Amino acid sequence: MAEAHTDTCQAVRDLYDFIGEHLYLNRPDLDLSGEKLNSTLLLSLLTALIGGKALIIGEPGLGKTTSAEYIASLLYRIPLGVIWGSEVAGHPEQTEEKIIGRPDLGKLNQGEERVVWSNFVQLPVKIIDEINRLPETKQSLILDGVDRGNWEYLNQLLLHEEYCLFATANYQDPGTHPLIPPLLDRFDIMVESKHPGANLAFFIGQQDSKEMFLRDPEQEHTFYAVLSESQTTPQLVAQLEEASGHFAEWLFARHGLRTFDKAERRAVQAEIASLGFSQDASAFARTALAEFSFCCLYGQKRSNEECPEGCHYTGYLCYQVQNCASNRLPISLRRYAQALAWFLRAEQVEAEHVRWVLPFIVAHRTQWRDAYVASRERESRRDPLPLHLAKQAVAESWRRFAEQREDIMQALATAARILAGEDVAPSEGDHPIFVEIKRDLGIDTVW
Amino acid sequence: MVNPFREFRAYQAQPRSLPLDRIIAARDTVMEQLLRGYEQCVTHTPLDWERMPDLSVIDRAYTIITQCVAGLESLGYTEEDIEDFCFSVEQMQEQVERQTNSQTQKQLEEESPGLWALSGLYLSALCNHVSAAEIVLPFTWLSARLHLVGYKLSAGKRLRIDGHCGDFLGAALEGGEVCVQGSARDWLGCGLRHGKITISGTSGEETGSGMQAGEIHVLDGRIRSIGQVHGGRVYLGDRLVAPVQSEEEGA
Repeated sequence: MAEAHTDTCQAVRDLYDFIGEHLYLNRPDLDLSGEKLNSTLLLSLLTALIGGKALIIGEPGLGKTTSAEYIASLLYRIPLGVIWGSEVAGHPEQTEEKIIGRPDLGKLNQGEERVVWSNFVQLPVKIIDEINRLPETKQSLILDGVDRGNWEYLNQLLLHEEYCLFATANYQDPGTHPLIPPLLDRFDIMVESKHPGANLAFFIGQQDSKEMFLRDPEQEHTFYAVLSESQTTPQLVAQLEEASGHFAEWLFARHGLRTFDKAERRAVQAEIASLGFSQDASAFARTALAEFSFCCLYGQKRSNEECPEGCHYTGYLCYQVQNCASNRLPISLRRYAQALAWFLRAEQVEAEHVRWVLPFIVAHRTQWRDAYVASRERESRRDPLPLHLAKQAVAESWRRFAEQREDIMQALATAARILAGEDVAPSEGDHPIFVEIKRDLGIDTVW
Repeated sequence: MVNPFREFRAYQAQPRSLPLDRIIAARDTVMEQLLRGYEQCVTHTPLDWERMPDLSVIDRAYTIITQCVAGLESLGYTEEDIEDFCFSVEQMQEQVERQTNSQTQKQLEEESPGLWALSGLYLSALCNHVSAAEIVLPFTWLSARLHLVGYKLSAGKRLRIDGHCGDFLGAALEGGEVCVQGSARDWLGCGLRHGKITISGTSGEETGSGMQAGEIHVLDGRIRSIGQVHGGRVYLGDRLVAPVQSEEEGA
């Protein structure tokens, strides 16, 4: 088992290196226990590996879409030309028929109601390019599909066992629309595809096109033939898997890269999901979640309510955020912390893993108070403002956890004993987590 | 009901350890050992106070105590631990007071002079074995006076005493310097071999008795009587009082 893990993990690391050295050249911006990695590449790779949903933001032309395409192609064994043909482009005229599917007009003339599914929904890995060019009303169209990977049209449903989504977004310009909070919340992580710096940019400019690295027109024809056939989902999956197998052989012969078939991907996902959280990791996650959801006065954060001045918890993040962390947030946190721990070959998820992924998980979900944004927006930084704010917030929360770790752990342990029937007094403390624990024990103080 | 805390049920909190706690704990350990050594010395060292001023009796007692203190050197005690030990002597003194129902300082000292002599000898041995050159002994709050403090204090060491001392202060001094902000009782500098004793207050009977070299300075008080001085000098203020100078020598 351990050997298999090492093998698989090494294969994923080889993919990371291959993309980082040939396809998506960028600077490392993460230092994880001395290992320097690029956050966009790493987190996108983990997204593809665990079947997550990533929002990649950045300036035009800095590799948002191409990085997603390369990763999608390699992790799901799909030629680049097919990935291109399955992408959905965000624009105001986009319709459900172009995104999801349309009636089979030939069959409809014969009185039969059949759906011709789009390539986008048929492939397990999906890319929506420039998602914020979709108006708010059109964004609502894809909410359920983005969330669960279930696509519905004309009372027909296309369900996938595997589902992974990348969406890219440019910064605000006259043609963009704000992403609605429910859609944003459905993305597990947000990363920025940064400028690689003048030297790497010049180097990239000197290189020939890299498209043919992952393209084989003959195999692309095979894929398109499979996608255009009207068939049931199991048939589709089986035929796609067969075509993917051929492309995997081509990849191995051409680049010496080991890729994963569907069963192997599922095995990796199961292996990642089996990684447990250390008590420290669990306690820190709870501590941070408390700060993103707690309100002493109103019970919880609500986006339509604002903390009054002079609140006792002014020094905590709960005072600075406007909205409440959704239940999707801890799910994203668990999955990405597990994936990162697996990638770093850790035995279990440690608090550090949680700390490293958390900013990318809260950055797009958190609405900050205007005063907090104003106080930090001029700070020297290397990240876009939402990510910078998230990193600073997590650092603050981490510091508080480090200071109060023993007390928090003890409070959690005491709560476990109380709920198990022991007659002990709950622990007291200043951090919101202590109040949350007491609320779980049925002790609530009205302020 | 779901217990969302169950993974923490087996959690055992680590005892919180602050740097200051660790320092205090370390010092507590040292003090405990010093007190244990003291208890052994007081219990097992014979010292017949009736035979004073027989220096051989003192020397035999000191030899036993030195062996005990040498065993404590591995503790790495410091001059600050010796200072702290003085406060423990104060507590021990309170116990003696309760046991003997002593009403006055005089009574307290008379009840068990050997105890105060052994206390002084133990302190002297600690001072002679510690690596620090200067040691402060706070006696201000002691109601009984310790005897034999500064016994055989070796060259290069300076003992500063805040408060009053009992008999035989700086006895058999071996080159060290004893400086007292207070008074000393009888036999000050008895058998002094080399070194210097300075007291700001008064000295008792037989000051400088049997001294062979070195100096005794009594600065502001008076000397009740000078003993048989074989060598060295005894000063009262700026005035040399022993050996007695002839008028011609003085001139």
